Amino acid sequence: MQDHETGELLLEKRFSIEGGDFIHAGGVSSAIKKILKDIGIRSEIIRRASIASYEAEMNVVAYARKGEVTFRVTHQYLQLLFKDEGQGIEDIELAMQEGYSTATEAIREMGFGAGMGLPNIKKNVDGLTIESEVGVGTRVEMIINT
Amino acid sequence: MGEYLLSVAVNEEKCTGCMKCMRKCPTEAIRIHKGKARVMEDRCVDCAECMRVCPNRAWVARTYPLTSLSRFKYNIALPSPALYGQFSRDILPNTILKGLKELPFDDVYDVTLACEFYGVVLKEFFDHYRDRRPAISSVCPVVVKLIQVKFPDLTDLLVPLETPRGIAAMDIKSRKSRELGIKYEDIGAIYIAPCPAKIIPIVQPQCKEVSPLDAAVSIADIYGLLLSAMRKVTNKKEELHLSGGSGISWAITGGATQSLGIENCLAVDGIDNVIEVLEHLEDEKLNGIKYLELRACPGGCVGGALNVDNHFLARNKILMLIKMFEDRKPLDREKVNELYRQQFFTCDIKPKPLPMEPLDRDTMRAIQKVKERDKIFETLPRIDCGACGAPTCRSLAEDIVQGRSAITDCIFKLLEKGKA
Repeated sequence: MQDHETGELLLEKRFSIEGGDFIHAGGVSSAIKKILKDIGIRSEIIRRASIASYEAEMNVVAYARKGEVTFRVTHQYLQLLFKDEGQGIEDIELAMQEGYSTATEAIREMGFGAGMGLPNIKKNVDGLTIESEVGVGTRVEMIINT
Repeated sequence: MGEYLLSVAVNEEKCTGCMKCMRKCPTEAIRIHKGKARVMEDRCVDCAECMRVCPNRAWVARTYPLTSLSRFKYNIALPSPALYGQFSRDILPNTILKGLKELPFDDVYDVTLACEFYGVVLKEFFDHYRDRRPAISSVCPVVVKLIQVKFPDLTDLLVPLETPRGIAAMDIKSRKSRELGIKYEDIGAIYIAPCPAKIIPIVQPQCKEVSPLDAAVSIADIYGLLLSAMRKVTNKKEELHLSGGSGISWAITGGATQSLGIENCLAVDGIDNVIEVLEHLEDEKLNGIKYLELRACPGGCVGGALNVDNHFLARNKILMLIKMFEDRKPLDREKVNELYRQQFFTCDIKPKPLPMEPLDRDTMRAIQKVKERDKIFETLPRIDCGACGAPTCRSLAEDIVQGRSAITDCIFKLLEKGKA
């Protein structure tokens, strides 16, 4: 993964997510998609950023009390940072496996929690860092090179 | 004809600038400028929501007047399946087609029959369809344009087949040309249209190099004439209506996909719902769907803005007709093969993406504009009153950074400035 601490910051936007609010879930990823279309980013990049941010947003909605999103555009890449206060991930490696899920029955009944979230994020980003503490929360940082 | 052509226009004499259309427009393509509605052509998708909602009848369809048909030596009317739903329950398709022949048309062609032919080919298309993403019906011109403009990456998913109305036109024109010894070009295939958008693919073909249809006249424009013509038709035996129930089912959303038995299809109508589903598709959230039957109008073509009857009543009538004709003789498979051999179904060209421009072609400048726009937006009242002539405070902020409007177009900002 490239060094994403450098690179001139061109645009920064912040959003918040309510845990458990499935009705408005997807709002943050749509807003990000809209900004990317407005600035004329290539559609392939927009597609990947939308999918990855949607999955990350759903994770916050399903497993956290609340979350903060920071979206940055630099010369070389997009950075999507999702920080939440929630149950955290016990075994990140396991969570990265397709089909692995800790979703409750209620979440699965809503059509989520198929265990594809993190694997799907990984498929669509160029860099992924996940830090998590059980009972405290999770920090997911995604980089997509432009 | 430029890149963009609109199927509706504003009659400035009737427009009072009331903003109803501006608020309703699903792509925020309308602004009120100097008290009159104006369309931003590159955003309009021809859905005619503006026309539907206008209390002053200021929006007019740019369909062809009946008088324009004299340019053809021989005219054939091809009515939209929606026309069959526009009359009382005792008026059957055959009477409607006989009535049409009494209008300034030399002949009629039952488009619902072409819908049946198309259905056979569509079913076969899906028997061999292996794409991970769903194919999207290309029959509704609004959906095609919406995809070109707002979802350009999805244009490849549009079903690459000529529409039933186009197939109908080619079939009847080539047949009449042979039978009557008239040049193909001298025969006019005139669509009797339920919506203004049907003129778009006539002027800007989406599948064949030249549109098989030559003009489209509005159902509403011929309605009165047709009513009186139908009173005059005789009981003389003349079988003009040839389709079964499945052909008629194309008039309503989901009718065709149901009768064809295509698995895992999603039938969606209403422009806002269509946009929502396409957003889902763009974000790859539509898993396991093979076919998207998308119709911009509520209820399908029976909900088109140029229809006369309420679309729920029209749907009810169509359902009655589907049932009434469901056991009709089986489809002429040899006829479908013949049309197929003549390559009537296949497309020579594809709809091309017409993406909306970003705020600036230069990314750095576009980012600057996003920042400026958002900063301006923060200072606006954010009540979307519309008095500035833009549908939302956000769209005004965008118009300002694009140099189309001034901050003082906002009456609240103007007031602040006055006080200061």
